[in-house]
Amino acid sequence: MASNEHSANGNSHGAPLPPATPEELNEDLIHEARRVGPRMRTLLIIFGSLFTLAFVGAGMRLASGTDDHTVWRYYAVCYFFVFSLTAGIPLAAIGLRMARAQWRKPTSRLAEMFLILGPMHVIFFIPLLAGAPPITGTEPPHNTMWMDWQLGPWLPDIIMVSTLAITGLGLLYASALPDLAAVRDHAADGTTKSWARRVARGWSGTDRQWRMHKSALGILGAFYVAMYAMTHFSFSTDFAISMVPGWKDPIFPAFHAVSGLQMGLGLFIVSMFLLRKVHGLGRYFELEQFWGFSRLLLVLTLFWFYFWWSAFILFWYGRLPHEQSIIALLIFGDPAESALLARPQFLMFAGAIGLSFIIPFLVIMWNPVRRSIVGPTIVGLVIISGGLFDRLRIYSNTWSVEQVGGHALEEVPAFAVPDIWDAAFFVGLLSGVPFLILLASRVIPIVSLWETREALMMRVVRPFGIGNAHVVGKPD
Amino acid sequence: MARQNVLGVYADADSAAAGARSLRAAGFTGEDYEVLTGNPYPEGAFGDHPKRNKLFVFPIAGGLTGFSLALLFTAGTQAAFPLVTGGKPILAIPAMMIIMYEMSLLFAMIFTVMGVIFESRLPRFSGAGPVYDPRITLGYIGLLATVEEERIPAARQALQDGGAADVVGETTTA
Repeated sequence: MASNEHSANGNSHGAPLPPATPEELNEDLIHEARRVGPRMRTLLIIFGSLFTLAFVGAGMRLASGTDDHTVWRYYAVCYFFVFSLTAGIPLAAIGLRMARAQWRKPTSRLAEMFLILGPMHVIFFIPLLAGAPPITGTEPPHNTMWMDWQLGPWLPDIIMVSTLAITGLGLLYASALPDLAAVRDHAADGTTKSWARRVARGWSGTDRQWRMHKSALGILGAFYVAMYAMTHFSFSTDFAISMVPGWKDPIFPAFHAVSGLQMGLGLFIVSMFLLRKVHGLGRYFELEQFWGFSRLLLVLTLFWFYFWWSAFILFWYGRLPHEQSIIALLIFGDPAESALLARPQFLMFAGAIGLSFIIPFLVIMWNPVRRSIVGPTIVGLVIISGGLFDRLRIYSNTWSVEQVGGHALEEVPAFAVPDIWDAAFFVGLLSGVPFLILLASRVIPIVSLWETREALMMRVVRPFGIGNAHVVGKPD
Repeated sequence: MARQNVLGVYADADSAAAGARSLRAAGFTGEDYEVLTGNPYPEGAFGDHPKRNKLFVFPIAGGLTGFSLALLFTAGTQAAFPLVTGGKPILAIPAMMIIMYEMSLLFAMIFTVMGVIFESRLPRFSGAGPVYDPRITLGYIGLLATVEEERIPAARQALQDGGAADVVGETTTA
């Protein structure tokens, strides 16, 4: 592998990207980064084995029956946590590509690799639909946006999640096509070469193909963003708001989407860090990328609080009985029960706001922290933990409400402890994320060869004053 | 008349630009050659003629198809089983809009992927092209001239004069 010592210390003086020849890029991204050594093989076996637990957990949950939706509460928590954590990450590539940010180029493929998880989201969504309460035939009637339509929400939500997954796979394929051609041309092992030949057949890099490629990335990226917002709207409406009588909150879907983006960006930064340290790809994930994404993380952290506060303030000052019930359910717990710190609902909320907003904000507001590699990574880990508390707060509480119909929540349901199958599903689903991405990285380079080469081509360092300046070309 | 291909492979953009100039000096136009690269270059960097595409038609057609199908499906099922809920109209427009939005995007996306494949002239089952060099995905630049049989020697000479690292292949294409 080409030397990455230059960037291993964080490159904190803003030194330029180490010069990489096309051969070095090829060696790094086609050969070394994809090599299945003993460590990679071990990781694949461990994560693959753990991933099977997700199927076991889902199967056992189905076996426990679909009549009582409350037993599905932790399945919902796990599913929506992993979905929120991973589905928003590709927007780091799509949005910054639209904004023509040059610094993001080596990182875009990593963000797009999370699109490979789309089929997993679809597969594990189906049991959740089976466990969800019916929208018709309940007494009092279940308040949903589907107007008693027998096919809602199952049909539209299946179409929605499938569309998101298909769009994601289409986008990943379009983005990776030139790199698959490079793997086809230069991969050392026959199996990978054969796979790459099948999927990249015919790509030769003509002008027509590149123009089509650019258009496709723009169009499919825009579709993905549109579906992402819609999916969060439907998930938060059908599987949170409508599960609680009296909960009417138009801001919550936006909060759901933004908090998903925030925790996704946290995971993305952590992933970049791991690729630097474990995979030796430090020259592609440099300080510049960490610094750029940490600014976005600060913005999303502020948004987290803004959207949460905007919703909370209405309930807090409205103080109608059903609004107080919602506050008790999602924030403070049942005031009749016990001391504030002994209420599970409050502890979940404290974990969510503390780890998603207070601590991240107090840490990442400082420029020296943002302008580092370790700082944003630690904040990213904290935000992921906060996201877990937040999804736990939302879905374990809403899915614990037994009577989904009516005008107001009568009482705050008691906290229930997850069982062994919930734990198996959680571990399995989380393990599926690295397993599928590592598996896909055997064929698709995890750093985009064509974008990295383009970035190097369009960037030079020139003397400026007594120092050097980066000159970045933006040809279109 | 049968046209043949000849590919000049260049180590960098400057020499490829020299090759393109050499081709033009020899009387070839931007229609006679295309550039093969491993990453996108600024439009017209090598003097080649930009080819128009009609990709935008595919998502529009797909979106309209999906919207129409969703409208037919949602309105049809509700009209077939008319249930008045809460005194609201039979056709629940807000709920229908969600399906129509999803189906429009789904079909627009499927049509777009089909359009990308069609407009990129993929898949090409015979391989990467009539004449191809794997070094292109290593960062080399190819100038693929497709000209009449009797002009092949001139094209080959022009590519060579432009500083090509290699000039490869001659295949009859039509």
